[in-house]
Amino acid sequence: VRVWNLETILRQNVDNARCVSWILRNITDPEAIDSAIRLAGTIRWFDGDSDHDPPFDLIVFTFEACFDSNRQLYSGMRDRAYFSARAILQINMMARAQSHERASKYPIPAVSSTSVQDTDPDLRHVISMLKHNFAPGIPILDFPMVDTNTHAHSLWMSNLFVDLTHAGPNPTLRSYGSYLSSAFTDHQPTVSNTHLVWYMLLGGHVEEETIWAVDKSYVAVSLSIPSSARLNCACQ
Amino acid sequence: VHASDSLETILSYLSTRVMNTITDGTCLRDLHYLLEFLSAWENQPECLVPMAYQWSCAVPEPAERLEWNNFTLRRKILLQLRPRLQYPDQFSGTTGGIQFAEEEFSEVGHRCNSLRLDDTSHRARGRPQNPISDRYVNLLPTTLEIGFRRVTPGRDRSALHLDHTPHHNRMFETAFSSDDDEVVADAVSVWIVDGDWAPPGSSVRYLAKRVKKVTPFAPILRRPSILVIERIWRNELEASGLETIRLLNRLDIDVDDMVERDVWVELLVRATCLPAGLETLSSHYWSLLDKLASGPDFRWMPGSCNIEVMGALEKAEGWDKLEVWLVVVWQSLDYPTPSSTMEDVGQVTLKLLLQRASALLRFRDLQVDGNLHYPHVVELRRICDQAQMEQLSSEPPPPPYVSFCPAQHLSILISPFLRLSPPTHVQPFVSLPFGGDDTF
Repeated sequence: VRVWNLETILRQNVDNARCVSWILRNITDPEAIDSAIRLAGTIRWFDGDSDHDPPFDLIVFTFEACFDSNRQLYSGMRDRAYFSARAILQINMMARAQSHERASKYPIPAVSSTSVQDTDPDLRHVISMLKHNFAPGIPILDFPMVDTNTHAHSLWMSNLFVDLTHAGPNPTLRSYGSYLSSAFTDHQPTVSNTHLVWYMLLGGHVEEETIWAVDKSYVAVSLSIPSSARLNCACQ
Repeated sequence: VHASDSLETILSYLSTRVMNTITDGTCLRDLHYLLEFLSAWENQPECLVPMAYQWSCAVPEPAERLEWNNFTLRRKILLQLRPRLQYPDQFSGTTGGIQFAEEEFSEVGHRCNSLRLDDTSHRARGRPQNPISDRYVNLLPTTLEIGFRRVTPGRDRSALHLDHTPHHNRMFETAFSSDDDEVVADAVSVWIVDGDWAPPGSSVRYLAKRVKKVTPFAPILRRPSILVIERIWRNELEASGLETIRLLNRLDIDVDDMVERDVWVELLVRATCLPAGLETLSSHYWSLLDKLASGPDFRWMPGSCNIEVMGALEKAEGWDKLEVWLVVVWQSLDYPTPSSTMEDVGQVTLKLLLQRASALLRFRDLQVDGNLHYPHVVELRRICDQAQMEQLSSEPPPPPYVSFCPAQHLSILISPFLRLSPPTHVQPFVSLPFGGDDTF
């Protein structure tokens, strides 16, 4: 049984935000960059004690560098494109939850759906979310289809759903069909997150600890960052 | 935090919010979205069943308080078929049967005050004028579906406890008044989950209304009705025997419908012993009892040796039924048996065997395959022998002795091909009955 400690998690979130920023601004090792971008998509930017300015431009640059001039995905760049798209969404949406001014500092880049026509469902889905959220305004969430998208992707989406609902303003939800399809997943954390969202929407109060603890993927993902990068980060 | 623990904890918190939302009538649209999700939820935990029951019982009261006098709403709640969910393969396809318009689903939260929401939402266009009414319409069917659509007879019911409140009667009245078989079936399934709480005869009384209205039972309603009877038949027979039998007659239950066959043997025997049972139970069930009483599912039932039923059948000369009943009676005789009872049963059995020669073989088999005490086997054999003797003595004289040897006849037929001579001295091994021969 893991006991969640809010103080520890908050501190870890701040540390992660710092690490990601430092790595992306100072390290050229592709492995470290990939790990940092991966982590950037799970950090609660602007939440708790983390008021760190995310390296948004670098992430967008990394994302765009995954595509050639015809907007086709370079071979072998799928993971980097996927995780950088996730990070862009995460930062943009958390900024929208804060204020219009803040959101305007992290605009979503223009993407073409033809770029990812032949790629996997997770990448297609995250790109479609970038497209839906290109215009400023209330964040728009589109649920992954459980029969095509992976559990990891669905969990990330549901975490974002929890965060946005908690932070407000509530997102606009697209596609009732995809929403209901998520009831057919056997992935319990995703379902739990959906329940938590409705609990909040029906006026239920959720302790800060629960919100932070509900996302069990933070700790797991943070462990995947290379130890060298961790050490470097700690030296700052 | 263990994953399953946190899910149950979240659900219990959620349940409280659902109850509040139903009661105060706000955020009904969001509630509708949540309930649709829960009803589509494939891996529902069992703890959701009592929660859903609590929600369903809570629906009629606020609906009544707000609008119940409004006949239109009442009719809607009773009649309207809510959109049915389609299942996973249909979600993904473009031709899938998803019945919700995509634009139905948009912003949630914050503006969930239903009146204000409907004034401001673009989805209010073209919708009926009474938003609260509309949103209460589907709550009862959906909550019942969440709790009871997936009830199966095999599930461990001991862990489930439904919290019954005075509101449940109103919920049942509303649900059973519906013309939607699925709603009624879900309500019936409450007794499958927890049938011990209910006043005896209540499920049959609710279903009796249905019996008057619908012919025949829809498959979706028939199945839970049969399971309920199988589960709580004692209470139902005691309190409303005639109505239970009428319901049985409408359901036309067969062996394949049964989960526990031995329960049904006892049920049918007890139903037959009721004052109205003999006249009312349809011949279909006599055939069924016949099938079950001869099979391995028959078990000894104390007190089912009902002499009155036997006497009535004898008096009415209902030989088919009497044969079935005597098969039951012989297997249910206590030991030691009072001599008067033994004498009555013996006499009636002999009378039956003299009336129906075909029953003789059945009672011979019963001596071997039935669940009889040994002294009763001896007595039944004596009666069978006596009946056979009397049958034979009353028959016209047989034709002269004929020996029939299939081997001989066969060899005659095939000998031209086998080039063999037919045997000349073959002992006959099948003899046609002849007067005085008791080795049949």
